[in-house]
Amino acid sequence: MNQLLQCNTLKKKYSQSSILKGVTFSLGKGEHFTVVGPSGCGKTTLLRCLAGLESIDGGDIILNGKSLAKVKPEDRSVVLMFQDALLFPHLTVFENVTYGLKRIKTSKKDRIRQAEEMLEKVKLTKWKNAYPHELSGGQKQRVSLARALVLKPDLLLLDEPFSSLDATLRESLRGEVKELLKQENISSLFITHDRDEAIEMADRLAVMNNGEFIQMGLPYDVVTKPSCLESAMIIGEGLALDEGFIPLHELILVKQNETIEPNFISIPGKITAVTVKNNHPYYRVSWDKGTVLVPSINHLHQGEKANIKADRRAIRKYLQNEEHRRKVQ
Amino acid sequence: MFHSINIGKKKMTTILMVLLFILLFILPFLTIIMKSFSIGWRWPDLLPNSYGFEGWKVIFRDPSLIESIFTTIKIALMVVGLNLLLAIPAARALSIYTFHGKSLIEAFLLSPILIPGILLAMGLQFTLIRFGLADRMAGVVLVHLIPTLPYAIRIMRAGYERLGNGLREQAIVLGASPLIRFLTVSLPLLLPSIRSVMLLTFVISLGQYALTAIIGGGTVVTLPLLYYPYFSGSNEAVIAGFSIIFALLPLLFIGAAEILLRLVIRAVNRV
Repeated sequence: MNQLLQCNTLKKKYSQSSILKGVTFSLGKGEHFTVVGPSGCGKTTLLRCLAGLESIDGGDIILNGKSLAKVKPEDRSVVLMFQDALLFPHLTVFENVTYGLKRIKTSKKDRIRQAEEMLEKVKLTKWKNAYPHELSGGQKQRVSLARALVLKPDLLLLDEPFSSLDATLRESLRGEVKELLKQENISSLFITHDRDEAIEMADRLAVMNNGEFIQMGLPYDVVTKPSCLESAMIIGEGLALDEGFIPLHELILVKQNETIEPNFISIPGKITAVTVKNNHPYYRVSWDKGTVLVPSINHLHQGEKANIKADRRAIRKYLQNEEHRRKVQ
Repeated sequence: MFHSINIGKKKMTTILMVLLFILLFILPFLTIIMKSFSIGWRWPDLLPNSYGFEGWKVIFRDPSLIESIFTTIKIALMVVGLNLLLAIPAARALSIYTFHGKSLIEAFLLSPILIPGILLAMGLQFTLIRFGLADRMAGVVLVHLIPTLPYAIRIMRAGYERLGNGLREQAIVLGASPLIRFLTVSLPLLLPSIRSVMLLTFVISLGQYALTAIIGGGTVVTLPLLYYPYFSGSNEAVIAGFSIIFALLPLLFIGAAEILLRLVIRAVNRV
């Protein structure tokens, strides 16, 4: 895969606190890269630096072999899609979609043709003369996507664009957006704090915490083999212990008085909620260091005390922090 | 039955409100128009004894009238222009950036409202004389900024705060340069604020008597300066005529400005 973007030790400070502490990564042409992390870990700042809305305090951003450090945000072939659709309220859907094309001096004929094609792709042709206030939340995000994609940017940055939508709509839009990005062959950098969304949208996944990437790799590897405790807590599907990570399929919830075999570990917890996943009952158990969703063969109730049980051999040791971090960077 | 009484009450209230509106807003205007065409309309007559163009003739016979209307419009237009030029960037900076001493600057920008304008004008006169701006139109324009600029900044700032930063950033990432951003996003969305600033500053500038008299020194003659002496005269038709001219000027101005602004916005926002 040809390299499109290279970020070298990107640093950003607000007053005295470091928001980005030397973020390094690269992105191939046509690749969909996702960054997942808790709120306030620096994800949005990273996108804003790439878009040029924030200046960087150190490091470099190289797009297509050229440094972006001194390029004005309006001259970068990078489009950022925000959390809110941010459609221009005084312009119609069609005028919103052609807004960017007009700025890059596309002829009127081409503007109209390209905008019509794009509206067709996002299934909004019949709304082209509507104003943003007449649209639903999902439609607004579709227009926003069309407005970004019609420019065919080298890189599309997506800042949790589905977070304001309801769960069903979010799931259907995720698939649609990924499909469209592939169709248009546009590389994307997607950030989210939702682990399901992160895994679904990614060709490659990075976990961010405290202004740096703590793990990077294929979504399946990252989810099942977290490199450190923080990563396990953010993205890992299972139990994050100090000594290692136990994947969810190795965990089972048992009654408090049940005897535990010697080669098994047991962690005491309390059932805070009961839910259904894959047609089976699952129990949300809160323990010392957080909560985890676990299945059980017993019939248990909310508020009951129970033990999370797992075979000791199932514990996957974390990679050495420093060694792994060097590998990530 | 209760229903019909309710409707009756609602209708009555509407009729009363309309009557009140007519009484307070339309009737005085009609009276002034009638008065400007009246000859001798004294208490307790309900209507004038006779009608004529005497009042208007006196007004238009005044050789300095046309000139003073032009001077007034010129000054007011420059005051409006300068206000927009200064208030828009100031309001934008105050609403977007946070910096040390921001509250001090805010207080400073609003201080002319707190101190009587005439006091400032007295002090400023010395400075303006030194710079050769006294008794000149430029000096009058500058001094008219004292009672207008604080309001202009206030109004524009509220506009910018309502607008927020999101749409501006969205326009940036879609490739719009600062000027294009202003023309395509800020200008159309700030139009209500801009309209208020234009009307308010135009009317304030139009109504200045003391500041114009002090700094203009009698050489810069605006409509209020011409209008004032007529008050001592007994011809009320003339005063009524002047009042109508006064009221029409801002209306004509805002009409023309609105058309101009809409043409600009339509031109930059075509597909």
